[in-house]
Amino acid sequence: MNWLNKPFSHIYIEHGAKDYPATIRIIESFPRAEIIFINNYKEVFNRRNQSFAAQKLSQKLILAKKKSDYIYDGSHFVQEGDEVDYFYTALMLNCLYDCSYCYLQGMFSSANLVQFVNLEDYFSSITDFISKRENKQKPVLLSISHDCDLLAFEKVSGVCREWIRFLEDHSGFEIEIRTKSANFSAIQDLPPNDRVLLAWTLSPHIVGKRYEKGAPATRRRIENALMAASHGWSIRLCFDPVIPVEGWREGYSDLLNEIFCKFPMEQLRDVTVGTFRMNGDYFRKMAQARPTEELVYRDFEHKNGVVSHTCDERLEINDFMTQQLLNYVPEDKIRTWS
Amino acid sequence: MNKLKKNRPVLLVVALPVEARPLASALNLKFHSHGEYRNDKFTLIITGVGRIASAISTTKAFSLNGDYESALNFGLCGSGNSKHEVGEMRYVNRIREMCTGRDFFPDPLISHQWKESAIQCHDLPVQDRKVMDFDPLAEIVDMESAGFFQAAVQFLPPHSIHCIKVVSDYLNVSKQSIKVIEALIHLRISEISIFLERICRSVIISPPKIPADFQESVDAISKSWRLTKTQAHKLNRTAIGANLRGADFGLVIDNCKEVNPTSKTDRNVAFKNLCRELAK
Repeated sequence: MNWLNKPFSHIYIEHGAKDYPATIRIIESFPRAEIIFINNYKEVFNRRNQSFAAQKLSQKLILAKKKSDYIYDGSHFVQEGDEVDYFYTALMLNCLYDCSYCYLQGMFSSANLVQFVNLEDYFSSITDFISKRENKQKPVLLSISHDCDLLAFEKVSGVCREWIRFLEDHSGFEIEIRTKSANFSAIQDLPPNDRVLLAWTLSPHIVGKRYEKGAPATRRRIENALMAASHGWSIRLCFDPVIPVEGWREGYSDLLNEIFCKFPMEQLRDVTVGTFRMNGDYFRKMAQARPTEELVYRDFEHKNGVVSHTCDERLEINDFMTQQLLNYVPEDKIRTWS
Repeated sequence: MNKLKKNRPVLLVVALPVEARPLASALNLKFHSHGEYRNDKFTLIITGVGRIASAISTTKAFSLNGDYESALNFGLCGSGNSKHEVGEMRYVNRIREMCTGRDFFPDPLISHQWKESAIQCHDLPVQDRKVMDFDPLAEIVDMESAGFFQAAVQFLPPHSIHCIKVVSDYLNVSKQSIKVIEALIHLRISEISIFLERICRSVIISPPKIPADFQESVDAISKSWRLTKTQAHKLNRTAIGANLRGADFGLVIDNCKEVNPTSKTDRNVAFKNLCRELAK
């Protein structure tokens, strides 16, 4: 495929985003990239008739300014219980990796990466949001790596670092940075912060190899999670989605053993478990966009606008994972989506 | 990404015969009908000058044969930058339609060897550099690209639509002679040919099919079990999934040959079991 342009061969920059420090920093990381100025990121990102699969082969970067809607209510697809108020913010749209089960391929019509560069606006928005909350007793967890993998892009964007520094001076909420990357080194010089939850999504090697194209090997993700824990960071481990493939029980059982035989449990905040689920419209779009993905041919249940395994299958998977996890983790630290 | 489709032609769109001749000659295209020049891999059309003419002719070409792999607008352009050299090639990465102020963006997935530019698409020949000041980042100018792009994007994804231009003048009033223009294009023919080879290929893998013998067995089961259309469709999809997983379905199919449901209930149970086995 050497007849394709390299990833980030082109950077689209909104006129209104060009003078931000983040933009200047990011452009310096790609000195050979072709710069194309645009009025609004949606001109490029929301173009009709784009091919998500083709664009994944040569992703472009779009630097934009977020103009509104900095904080969103958490999705009902996450495992957070009622004990925290869960919100997320979209600092980046799309991901460097190409996971077969990812909802982003149904959510966005483009595979290109949008990085919002006006961090100060996000910061003032969250400060304002926290100060105006009614139930101030209830903890707030803000996912900053929701529709993306922010840590994977950290060496270029430096966004996680900015958020962690911002958190040091602003109380009232915690942040979650969820990743599949092996990129902890990008923030390891920072002092650990109890209010930053670093979450790694882990899958057995057989699942990672088949369904998580471009993502670092599970072994490297485990090494990174261990390194972060040993530096004193709070860690969340996510087995989500659990993909039942041939020999999945042995695969997940071995994976848990591989992790927990050496994981410092005092640094483990919790573990999340979930099965494959997706908004029905996203699944339909994904099936059209990725006809070569085996997952789209599975006999999933379509119920109430959600595509997932049947109730029995979900129970079977969750029960198995919970039983296995109980060998290592107390029950109150296990969160499941069912 | 290893199965590359090579059988769909590429549509070449040019405004003038003088731009078409060097391409037709180099690619050995023959006059066909409807003003098209063709061979197995390429179809070339001459649209006439202007945005509207280009859009109409491009749409007509797609209507006559909607199955193009990609489309390329090739032609001459003027430059408002005296540092550009006459004869220089430019790959267009943004098209500004001057009459509306709208921008259009080809999706540059395919690599090439030229510099890239934004282009201004005007309705009248531009002879005054000041006319280009409205969009100073777009330093080259033509009269067709916006019409071509808007028509082509109705039929193709933006990564399959390309615009390449040869700088022919600096907005001079005096016309270049036909011989000079043809000579400019001739000089670039080998570069253009390399790029054309690339855009002949499909970037996307076509939807998967199951092996013929397996497909025959699946069809035979659908027929002998008198599956409903919905069931047959679901069985086919489950079989594709099994094939993509690399599942060994020979035994499952063989077992099914011994099953002969006689009632609807039996058929439905057998169908459910078969799908479950294939989905394992």
